[in-house]
Amino acid sequence: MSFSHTLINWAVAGGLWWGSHLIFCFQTSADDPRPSAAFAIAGSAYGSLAARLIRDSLHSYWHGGESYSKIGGETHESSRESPKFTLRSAHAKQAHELSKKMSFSGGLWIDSIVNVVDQLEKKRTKRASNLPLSNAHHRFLDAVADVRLRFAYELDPGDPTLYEILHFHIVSRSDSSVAAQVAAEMLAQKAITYALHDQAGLSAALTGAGAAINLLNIRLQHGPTASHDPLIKYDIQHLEQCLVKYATLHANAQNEGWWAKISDIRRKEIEDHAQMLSRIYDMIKKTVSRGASR
Amino acid sequence: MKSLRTWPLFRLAISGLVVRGSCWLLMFGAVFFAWVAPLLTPWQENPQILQPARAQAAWFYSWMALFTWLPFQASALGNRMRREGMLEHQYAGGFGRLSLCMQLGASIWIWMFIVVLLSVFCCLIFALPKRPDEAHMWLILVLQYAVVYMLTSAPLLMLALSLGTITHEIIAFLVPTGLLFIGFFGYSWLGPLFGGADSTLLKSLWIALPHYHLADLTPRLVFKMGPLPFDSFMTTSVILFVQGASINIISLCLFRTRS
Repeated sequence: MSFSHTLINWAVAGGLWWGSHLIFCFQTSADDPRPSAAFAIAGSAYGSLAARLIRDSLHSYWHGGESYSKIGGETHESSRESPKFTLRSAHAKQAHELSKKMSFSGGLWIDSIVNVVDQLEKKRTKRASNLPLSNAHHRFLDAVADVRLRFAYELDPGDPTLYEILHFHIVSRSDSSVAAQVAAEMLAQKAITYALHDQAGLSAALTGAGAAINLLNIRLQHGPTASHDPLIKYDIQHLEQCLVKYATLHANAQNEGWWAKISDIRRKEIEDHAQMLSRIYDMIKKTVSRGASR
Repeated sequence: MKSLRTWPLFRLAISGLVVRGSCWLLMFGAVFFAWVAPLLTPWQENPQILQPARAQAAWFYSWMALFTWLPFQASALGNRMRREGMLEHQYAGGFGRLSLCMQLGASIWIWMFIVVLLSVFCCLIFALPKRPDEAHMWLILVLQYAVVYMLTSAPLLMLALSLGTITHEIIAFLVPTGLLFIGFFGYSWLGPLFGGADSTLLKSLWIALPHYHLADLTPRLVFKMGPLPFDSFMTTSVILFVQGASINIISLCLFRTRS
């Protein structure tokens, strides 16, 4: 092929490339600035899996690098008191007890080896230095935990633990209370919308109920006089919808037989959480009706 | 030897790929991955996510094949055929450059087509919704996805092949993969920087990036959003087609037969 032909071909190719993009200019709807997540990982089943995998490293950042700081009370106290991981810790505690039971019941030689590996893994992340962390280091750890937390929540918006931690985090860490409130409300609305979505599961419904309770908490802070607020009615309605959704899914699960396939620990965790939420719902109803009758 | 007169290079390339065996691994992997990957997720708590997760895994596998196996085989094939003098031999035997390029391209496109077919198969066999109207929408969406995927991948494989004939196979593999990567992730990463800028130059630079993210219809499958509206599907297809035509012309220019 002669040089001029090659040149013409390159020119045609370049022209076509630009031409294809000119179509964008005639399309007003095509310039949607929202970045789309590739392969739809966030919010899908794989997002849920990834969020669970991130949780452990998130937990260790939260506790200053220690992965097992709060389990069973046998290790030394963590340098920082952190009530945020209560749900996760409860779960971990159960798992720990279960593994304890399993490892001592047999008494086989293989169990002791498993124990040694387990102990070594715990010691791997145990703090040996007594020196306190500097403020800058604390800020760094907070920032890293914050990034991981937000990322994990993006991956699995239907996880109640991640949602509650993120909510607490936003409310407690923010400088201005108004901005924090707005951010927390937006997060809660997102969680409720996600919970009432068609494909939402049991955990997502509970997350939505928790979000509605958080919203009610924010609104009822100003005292029962505010209980005539139409927003409160709206939130209570959302809370009811989420709890009803949970109840329906739970009944479905038992009828269709997939409830029994969920692991025991997870099942207990879901049921305990649902019970707690419905207790809070009763309390809120009482508070609101008292405020309304006053 | 009558059969070797039509498309001899195509036959040679295909049999070369078949005896290597990694193509069988690729095909087996597509079905295996679509079957096993969803079982690793916490699907027990919400069984209705299992079927979309299968479809998602199948298409994710196709894209991963386009990021790894397919372009690498294309570049290695181009490199091998030129190095061993087969292209020069066929050229001397009276086949034109266009014919040689298309024969080699077809031998790679077949595998791409099989990967797409397996993904479509996984979507329709493992994950077809039960309600008939939803199933109809699902079918249209899967076919749309297959079309845009092929419009994206065919020219990139051709580019890998042609680059393979003029340079080392690793370089020839990295260029289309990089282009695909930019097309997928560059849009959202560079969007705030370039797309939102006031300068027309930056904006046009951003528009001139490849826009392969348009071909990623996985969210529509996973969240059961239904098929793309016909007009946006046509626009997307035209954009990808014209872009692909441009890449194909460049590939033809780059294709070299002399060893």
